[in-house]
Amino acid sequence: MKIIIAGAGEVGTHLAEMLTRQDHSITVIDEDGEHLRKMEQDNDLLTIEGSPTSIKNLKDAGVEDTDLFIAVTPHESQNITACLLATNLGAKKKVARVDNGEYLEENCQKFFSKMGIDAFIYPEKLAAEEIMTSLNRSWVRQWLEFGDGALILIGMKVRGGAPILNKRLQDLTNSDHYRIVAIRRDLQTIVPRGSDEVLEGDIVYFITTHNFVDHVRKEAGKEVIQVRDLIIMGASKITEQLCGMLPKSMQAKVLEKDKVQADKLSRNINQLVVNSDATDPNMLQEEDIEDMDAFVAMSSKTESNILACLEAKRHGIKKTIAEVENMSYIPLAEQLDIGYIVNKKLIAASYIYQYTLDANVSVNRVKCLTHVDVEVLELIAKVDTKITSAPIYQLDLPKDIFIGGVIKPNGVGFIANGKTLIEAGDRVVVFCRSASIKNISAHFRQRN
Amino acid sequence: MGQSKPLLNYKLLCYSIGSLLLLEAACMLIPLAVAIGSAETHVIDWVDSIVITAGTAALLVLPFRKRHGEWGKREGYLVVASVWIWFSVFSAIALLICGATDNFTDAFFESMSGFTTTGASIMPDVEILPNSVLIWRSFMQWLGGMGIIVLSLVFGFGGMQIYIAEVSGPTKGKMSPRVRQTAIMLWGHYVVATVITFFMFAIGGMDIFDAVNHTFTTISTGGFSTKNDSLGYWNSPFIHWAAIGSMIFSSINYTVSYFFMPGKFRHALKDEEMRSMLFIFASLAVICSVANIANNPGDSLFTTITNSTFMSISAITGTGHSIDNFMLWPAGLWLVLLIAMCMGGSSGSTTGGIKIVRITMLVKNSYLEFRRLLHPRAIIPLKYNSKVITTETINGVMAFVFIFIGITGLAAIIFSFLGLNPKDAIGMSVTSLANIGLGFGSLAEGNFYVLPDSVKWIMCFLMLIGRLELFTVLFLFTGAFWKR
Repeated sequence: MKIIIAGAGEVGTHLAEMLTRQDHSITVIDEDGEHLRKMEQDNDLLTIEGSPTSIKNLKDAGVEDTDLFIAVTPHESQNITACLLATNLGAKKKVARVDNGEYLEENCQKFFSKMGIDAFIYPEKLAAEEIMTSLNRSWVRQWLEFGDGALILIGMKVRGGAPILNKRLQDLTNSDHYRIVAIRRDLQTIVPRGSDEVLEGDIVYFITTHNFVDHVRKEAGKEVIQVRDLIIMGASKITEQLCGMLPKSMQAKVLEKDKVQADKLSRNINQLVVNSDATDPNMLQEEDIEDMDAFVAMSSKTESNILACLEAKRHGIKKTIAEVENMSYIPLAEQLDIGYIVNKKLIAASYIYQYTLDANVSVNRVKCLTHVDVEVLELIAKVDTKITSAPIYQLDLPKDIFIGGVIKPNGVGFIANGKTLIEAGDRVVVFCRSASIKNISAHFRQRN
Repeated sequence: MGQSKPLLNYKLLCYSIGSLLLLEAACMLIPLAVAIGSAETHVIDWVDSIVITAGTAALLVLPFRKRHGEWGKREGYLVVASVWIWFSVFSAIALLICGATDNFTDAFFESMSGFTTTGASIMPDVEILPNSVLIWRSFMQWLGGMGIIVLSLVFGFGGMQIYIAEVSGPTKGKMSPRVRQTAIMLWGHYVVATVITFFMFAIGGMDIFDAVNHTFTTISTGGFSTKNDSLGYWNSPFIHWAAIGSMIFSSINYTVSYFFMPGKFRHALKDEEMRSMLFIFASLAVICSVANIANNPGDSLFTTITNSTFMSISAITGTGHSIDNFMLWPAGLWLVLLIAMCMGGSSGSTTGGIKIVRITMLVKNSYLEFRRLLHPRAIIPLKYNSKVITTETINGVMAFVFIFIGITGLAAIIFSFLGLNPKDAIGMSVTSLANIGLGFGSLAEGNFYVLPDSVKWIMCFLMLIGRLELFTVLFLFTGAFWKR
């Protein structure tokens, strides 16, 4: 697939690196020549130095036969302009990054799709949504719903005392209630088989149906903690979005050390904003840290976020959430046992993933799991495709692709096993290693 | 993190060299076919050569087929630089088995001269060589012209790391986002140019075998021939002008000439390097023609112009085909040609030498230096192809030219101490470093077999570093390469 990425900032760079590894043809347009040269040295892609809103540059990038145009510069209006130009020059799908929630509203969407912009991404809002889910169910690391909650994917850290520990997966009873789809152990992703066991400290991903969520929670030995009071460190855009989403039952204190920033945020939100430094233990004491249920570190500095979360844990806070933008720190933060890690780049990238899949495959959504090197896709099985031709065990799926569950057209979801026969119209939840995402298309493509 | 990973991934090195040697073994099927076709006694020799090459390749590939790890920058440079040596070694073994020569130094020299498209030959008489050896010599040049590595990329071997090491130079050389796609486009384009040249030679009256050979050695700006008199064997101005056209085409950057098609032609013509190159070529041809006409007013005007143009283009593009002995020209032209040889053609072409892009950049920069003297506070950037060239790029270009001149001088001095007269020494040094193949002074007849072995080995080294634009090979001799 031919893809142009306008803007080689954090999101653009990450996307470009990820998509080149999947054999797409990537051209990157940015004004920072120095950074582009570095990208070109390390990755198999083409770069064009200059403004992404210049028609000449877009033409040089071959916009006329581009399948996907992604505008992710830091400036919203530049992104929209670039997408409009790309539309008129012949690009097929266009995605723009915005930092304005207004554009995401439904009536606006129609207006923009008329102009040729197929989708907007607003990474800060997506991040805030993920944090919100995590606060609502404080015992999970990741929570994903498929088919309006018919199937649910739950990632949890399993600690001592959990019933499922040290048992072989094939010996676990109630295997139609849930299934373990991925395990993260010591920085490695395991796609488990029947003979594998869950060990203490593993991050385990379960797929289950709505009725058995509590069952799964108990199996993993988790207690429910209701989050009522939380501290948010840093007055970032995510903070602003998050505060707007908090339900009445949750009270947040935002700590921001920069006076101007704190002042600005306090005008836009209804939560308490305090001008103080959350990395200072004395300040945390002052804000009654012991009484808090959760600590959310969203400052622009990854290091401060991690350290502040550690400090909060020392004060007995069970739920910590940190924004870790520096990718190489993610494994470190996980080892330090920070409850939930937010990375805007990963979130934005997984959102854009779905547009890179074959046009003949209808995708409901794609998601990359934060802790494991696995992607989840919700795909629709169409008539006359390979996937509907036989029960799963006869399909000869590649080893790192497997079907987690199926949602029938009537909205009932169930966990798949080898004998499951997928029918046309079913929604299928597929798990695969990131590198083999493109192999999936073959099974869901219609034979003309 | 304190992992003790070895500096170089030896598994990958073995695996990649092995795979490339398999490619060479496959290429040897061509001389084998020719040997069978012309009912030679050498059929078995070529079978032996293929078995030896493929056998070695298999020994290197098979143990590491499954696990060979990732490419790094070091592995990229090492593979790109050493593949020419490996190819030459196995080609030399084949030449020895066939009895084309009885001395390994000569066989290696001939092979290195072939793959690097230099075209200097140690064969005292090429006309007695069997057809299979002749076609192999020509094919080596054709393969080396666009590059072994670029061909291996076509087959999906390696990637970005080896492309960077192979295609150095101050301008960008990618036409498509994917390296592999670029390599396919380049080779496709090269094949088309080859076919056109073949038809020109065939129409001009060469027999098929000679036409194929000369096409291979002309489009690659190589210079081997099947005749002792090179292209001078054919007394046909049509063939000579066709060769001139083909040599000029191959000195244009292949990523520029790819766009010589309706709709994009005008844009391609705007390439600054190509324009300056054509200007330099034309001036050179005019200078040589005028000087020769003035020197020999009695000769046929057309023949003099043809000979002068042919020899000057052959020299500057580093082809090394010959239809005239330029040592009989006025002595002033020797120097003109010597300097022209150092220049070469465009970057991204099959030619050797400093390359026109570097020369024009330096000329422009020197000129801007005067304007900067006049307006000390003015910011006067160097522009090339209407893009601003950064100081780092100019520094790189200056370093390249300095190293080029330095190595030429150093090699000439060494050659003189090894017993060559200084004129020959300078000629040998330039002809090998710039991948020309024409002799100079007493070696102008192309009689390289008289050279001592020590000189031949040094020339092999010069041909290699010249072909890879100095830095790729010289990098391996720096301390930094072997340290973490």
